[in-house]
Amino acid sequence: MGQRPGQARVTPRGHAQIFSSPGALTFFPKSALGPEGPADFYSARSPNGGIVNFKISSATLFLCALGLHAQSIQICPASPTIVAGTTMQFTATTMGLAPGVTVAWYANGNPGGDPADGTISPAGLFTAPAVPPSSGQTRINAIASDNSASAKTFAAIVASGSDNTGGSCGSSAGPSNVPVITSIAPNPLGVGTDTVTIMGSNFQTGALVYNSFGSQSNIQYAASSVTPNTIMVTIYQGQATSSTFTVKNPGSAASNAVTVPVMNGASSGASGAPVLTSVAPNPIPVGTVALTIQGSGFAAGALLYSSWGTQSMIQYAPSSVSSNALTATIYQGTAATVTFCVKNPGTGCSNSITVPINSGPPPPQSIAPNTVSLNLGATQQFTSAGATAFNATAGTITSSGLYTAPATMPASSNVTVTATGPGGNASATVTLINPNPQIVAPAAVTLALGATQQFASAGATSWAATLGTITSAGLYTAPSIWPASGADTVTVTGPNGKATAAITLTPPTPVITSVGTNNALPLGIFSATVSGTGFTAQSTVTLGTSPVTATYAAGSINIGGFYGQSGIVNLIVTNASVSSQPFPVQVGVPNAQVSASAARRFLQQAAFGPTPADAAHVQTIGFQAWLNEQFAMGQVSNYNADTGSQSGMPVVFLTNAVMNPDQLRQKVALALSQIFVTSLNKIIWDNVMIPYQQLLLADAFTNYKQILTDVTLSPCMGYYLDMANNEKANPALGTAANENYAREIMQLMSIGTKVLNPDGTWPVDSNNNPIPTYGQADVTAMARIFTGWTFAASTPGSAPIFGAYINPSAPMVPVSSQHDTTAKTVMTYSAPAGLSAQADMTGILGYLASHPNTAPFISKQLIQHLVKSNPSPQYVQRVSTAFTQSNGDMPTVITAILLDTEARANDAGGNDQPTDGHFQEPALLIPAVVRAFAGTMTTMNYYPSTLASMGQDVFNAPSVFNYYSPGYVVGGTGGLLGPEFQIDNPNAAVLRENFVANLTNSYSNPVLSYGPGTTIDLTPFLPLASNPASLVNAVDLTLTEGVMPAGLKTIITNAVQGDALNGTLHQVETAVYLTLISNYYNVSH
Amino acid sequence: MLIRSRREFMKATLRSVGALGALGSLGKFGEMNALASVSSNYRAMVCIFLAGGNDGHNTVIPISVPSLQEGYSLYLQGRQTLALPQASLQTIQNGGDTYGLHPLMPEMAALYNAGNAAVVANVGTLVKPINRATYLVNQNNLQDVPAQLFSHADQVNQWQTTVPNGGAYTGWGGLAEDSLAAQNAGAAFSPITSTSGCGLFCTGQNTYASTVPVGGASNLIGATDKNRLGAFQNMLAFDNGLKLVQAANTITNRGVGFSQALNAAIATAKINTVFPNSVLGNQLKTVAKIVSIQSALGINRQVFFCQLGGFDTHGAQIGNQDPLLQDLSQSVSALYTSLSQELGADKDVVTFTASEFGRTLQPNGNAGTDHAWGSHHFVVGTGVNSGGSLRGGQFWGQFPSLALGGNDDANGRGTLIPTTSVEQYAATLASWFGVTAQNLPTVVPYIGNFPSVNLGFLG
Repeated sequence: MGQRPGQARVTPRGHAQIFSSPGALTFFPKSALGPEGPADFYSARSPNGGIVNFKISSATLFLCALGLHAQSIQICPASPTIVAGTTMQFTATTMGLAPGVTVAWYANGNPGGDPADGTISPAGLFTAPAVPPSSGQTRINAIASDNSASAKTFAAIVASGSDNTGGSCGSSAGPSNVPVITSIAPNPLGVGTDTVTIMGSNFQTGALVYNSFGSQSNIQYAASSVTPNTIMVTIYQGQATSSTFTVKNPGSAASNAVTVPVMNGASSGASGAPVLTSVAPNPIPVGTVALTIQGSGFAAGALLYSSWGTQSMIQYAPSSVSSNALTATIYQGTAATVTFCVKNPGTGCSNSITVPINSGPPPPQSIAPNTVSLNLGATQQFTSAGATAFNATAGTITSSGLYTAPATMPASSNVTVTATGPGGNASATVTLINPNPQIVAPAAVTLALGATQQFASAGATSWAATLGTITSAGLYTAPSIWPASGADTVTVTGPNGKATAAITLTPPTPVITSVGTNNALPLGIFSATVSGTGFTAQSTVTLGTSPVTATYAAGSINIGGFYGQSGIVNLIVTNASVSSQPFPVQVGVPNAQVSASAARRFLQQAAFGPTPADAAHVQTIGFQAWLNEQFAMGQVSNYNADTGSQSGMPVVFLTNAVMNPDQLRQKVALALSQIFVTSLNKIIWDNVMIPYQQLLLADAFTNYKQILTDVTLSPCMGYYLDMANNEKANPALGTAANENYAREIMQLMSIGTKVLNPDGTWPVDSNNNPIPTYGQADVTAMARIFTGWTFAASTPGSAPIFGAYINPSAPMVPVSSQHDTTAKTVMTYSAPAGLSAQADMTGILGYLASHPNTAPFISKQLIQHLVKSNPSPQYVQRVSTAFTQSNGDMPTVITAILLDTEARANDAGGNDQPTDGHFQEPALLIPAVVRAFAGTMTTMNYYPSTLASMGQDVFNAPSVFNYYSPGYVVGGTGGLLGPEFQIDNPNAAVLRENFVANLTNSYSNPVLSYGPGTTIDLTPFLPLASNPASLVNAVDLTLTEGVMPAGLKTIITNAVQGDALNGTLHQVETAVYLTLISNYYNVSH
Repeated sequence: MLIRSRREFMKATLRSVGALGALGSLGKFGEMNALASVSSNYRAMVCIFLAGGNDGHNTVIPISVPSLQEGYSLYLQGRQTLALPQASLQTIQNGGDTYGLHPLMPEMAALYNAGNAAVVANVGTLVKPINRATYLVNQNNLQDVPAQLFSHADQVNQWQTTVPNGGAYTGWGGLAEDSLAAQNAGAAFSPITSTSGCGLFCTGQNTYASTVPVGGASNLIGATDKNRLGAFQNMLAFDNGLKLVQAANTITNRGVGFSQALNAAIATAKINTVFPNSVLGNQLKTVAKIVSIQSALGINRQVFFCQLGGFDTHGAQIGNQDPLLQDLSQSVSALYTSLSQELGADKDVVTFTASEFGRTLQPNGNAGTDHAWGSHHFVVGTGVNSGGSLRGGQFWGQFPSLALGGNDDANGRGTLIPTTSVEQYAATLASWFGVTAQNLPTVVPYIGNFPSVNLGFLG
């Protein structure tokens, strides 16, 4: 392999060769290095005699010092530290590059770098990335365009909070041109301007002088003359400290620094300090003043210095200088004295003269008398020291301050008299008095709305009323509508001016005739119209002891608010001091069948949570009647009508759950969809999943065997678990019947894997192990039973074709040629040889539906979905018995579940058992929150992705095993089941809080919406924020059935109180937010 | 404080970790800087669960196996229409025997051939060693045979707990962490991280999974002010006597604590290795990211659980399994590249596959396969010849005969009776991870039923 210049190789005997353009180098092993060789370095000699040192690492040679004409590049700065997001200039010093060869810059090995590691311009300007790269550093390369040489360094990239380091580079090589200072004259220097001679060596034309004194650092001066050994410069020293000089030649580093003392009045060696004799004016006024200083020996270029207060030696250039007088314009602040001295160029300060400063501006102007009352036309003398002018807003005043009041009363009876003098302006107030005022009678009167009153006033010329009307004869008629002020004013004008009469209006007496419909209000949040008479826009309304919001409209009052107690409650309308008779209102359901709490808890189980209206309805008709109503109600929820595409199904599911009245049907169908699972992850056609979910809604109130049959023959399940086109074993192809559906229908949809008692518990064998319900041989035989089915022909009536493509609109159909007609035995079920596919199907589904495991297996799962995760065996057995006795009649089973004593035990709250409850899965949580506030949801809602992120991507379960398992045991509970906990991982728990946060943060609008499709209205809660305990009671009834434990209420109430500074809306949101994220709420119980 | 060196960073990290206090007390989590660094005392296991039951028959295929006097033709005979063409296979050697990996697994073959991957043959759930004769007689006896063989949910739990008869509520990943708790003292984050849901594998007596979905852990957004946060904390401590409420409180508390701890540390973590933008690739990239902030999290013994689903190939298996195995091969390779080239942690991290069961060799009529039992698995890590712990480039355990109805077939459809138990597989990994021989029966309760506790593929 040939080498190119710049490459190196290590010879087998430990020698190395460098290939450089002038020729090969001679390499010395380390042992050959003299004592001057750097440790760990090797040296080589070039043909022209230069020595180059190398460090050898593997076969890589790093050029370390240059003494020859080899090509090389050095990067400066080396190994800098650069703050993320800042820039640093890199320079490349090249040696020996061929003409025309340039240097290209790389960062992280990329030409120009990259955003993650930093970018570098063709000119070497490096911009560090905004965030340090994971390695904490970026490699910088400078590479010659002919690749003859390269260099690299590593820049450490650090987070902000520091400075770049390593940014300055030493000057390039070459003869030193740094100047040297040996001495400064004069020494010491005087305060002020001095011409200084700097002596030393190596001074060059263009040299600059840098001077530092006190806090002034490196003031730059151009030299007035430069020789190689002398610099003349005129500088200024502000204070008597010390002064330091350095000199720089063009492009050089700074010289050594030389420091000399600076002294006040120090002689610089030149004689002739001037002498002061006087200063005029004396004393000196405060402020800017033109000054004349008399004395002797003033020279051209003399400077004046003044000191006053803490100001010291302020330098002024005089406006004129003669030998015995000097003028200057200076400024004096307030101080007792000011001291002056004068310096000629090159001298110290003259003697000082101190003169007093005037005591300041004249005192503020004053006027007397300050206030006075005058009859119209009367006079009053005002005095004000030194006043130069007097003015008055009404009447007249002479230049000597004699004021004459006007003859008639002006618009305002108050007149301002102003005196102007040396101390500014001063003013006095004159109150004009009409000695013969206009009088009106009566001066004050109380009137009913619309009543009349005759007013009298001598010589009246006009009458006016603010609200009511008044005739030219003074007959006043009060307004007919109650004004906000409750008062009116009559003004009369006559020969002696104006007079007013005050009218107090008597408010109308409110009379309530009706409230809402039937004089009834719903429990909890309400809004209604109060009808009657005597209402005004200012009327207030109370219900019991609680204030309610009241809005007057067209003679009626719309009220809204929250009332948490059922019963007869008095409503009162009040106008100022006048109240209506108490008007009895029925709050909540009269003669309720069940309590408000019980109805809400029941709907948490039987529906997607209570709405206020649904809860009242349950209270009115009772549980059983409500169930009957639901069973009788046709299917309202419909995916066909609303879903344009399959991806819209979760949207429609949520909307239906919130809005549609067929609550129980939907709730049961959701449970069934999690027992008879199909999933969009395999059912990828929009027209296949929709009919399947429609089937479950339609079958929810049929019976178990019907559901099992419809599911088994549905094209959706047929495709999902491969029963469709499951052909009998084919010896030629070496295939067997597909076991997928055969196994899962037993394991998941009917009997389960272990023998069960009717109460859902299981017997064990002598080794304490459960007894399997079936074995692999049963699965194999079951698979054969399910052979021979395919999708219906797309043309109705046509013969089915085995292996047909999916037809979602009709149940699957048998193809006898593909059915395994040999005898089968599955557990205790025997099918003789020769049965048709249909007969085999009917037989096995009947067997499974009546298998003793099925009732407890299905019953317990339905209980878990509707009521609780850990039903007692007795509860399971009661439901299981209902299942068995009714042949799986779904209304019977559902009724048994929901009306069981165990389901209803905690209806009044406070009767929780430690094992009670079930965690609300996301698909229940979201609708329940919206329904609780009587909110609305449309198919624009944003929540399908929220469901998915929380682990319940509705209709898209990860497998036939659903989102979670009915047998999932919750850690830390001593073995309690908690199916829904399987998807409540820590991150999902945070997402649950965030769902609530998104829905309950509107910041400014009490109508909360997260996205366009969902709204809940917190307006009725706002008036309650002033009483946090009452607010929390309202939220409790809304969300936690009115039975929230006192300890939890206290926590939330305190938080609402602590939130007072954020406004009432935020307080309400805090109460709602905290309640919803509490696991007391999330675990329905 | 500007940290200029890794050593300074380590010191600073130790201080901040020490100041964190007990997990679950909100608001105490301090700011942590993150620099990529892996401590010398670090080990991690990455479990990749192939959910649905991966068909091992089309993952590792015999081509010429003189030691068994079998080869491709017997495979072809059993596999029929689902057989992969011999010429398409990625050839690997096990001593004198020639096998092929699935055609879309060249990366895995390369790892194997470099000694950085091993095959563990025919692993499955067992109560104790069993042969065909015993199985056929005692298949419903849980003293001899695992409960609910061929059932997804049950076998998933058995793989994750190593307990073959159900009834276990803790898994061997969590239990291994329990026994090594001292190594993670003061950590602000759970030592087990799942990138998707995790089952019993991640649950110990005292160890619970943190879940870090691809894209990162979620931050609490609604209780950011002191007032609400304080009330939230009080509510999480409020006990109304319901155990399920308490359980939910515990999970919520962990969720908030984990996200605070992780997000403080992971903000600047960056992985440059290119991972496939796939289901598993994105999960393993998340794993690499968390490995890179291991020291910031204060965890020295870390377990990861990742999941790739879709292996329940009852129909159209070829089209369904192919992309999954490709994802597995490419993603595992990317993880190894990141660990070895970028993080310098390849010798500290071992990746292994698991799956509830294998599938029948014999296809069904839907061009698919049905639930079976034993299957082959991969262990990936740096080989001993490169200074690592893995005895790679070879097979461990006994490769089975593929004769239908033969000695290794449970039922005539090519349902492999495992010759290596999940217990042995787990115990070997756990031992490398640091579980002592004394603690091994706690982590793998049935290990005593098997003659060899350590298969030897690690260390």
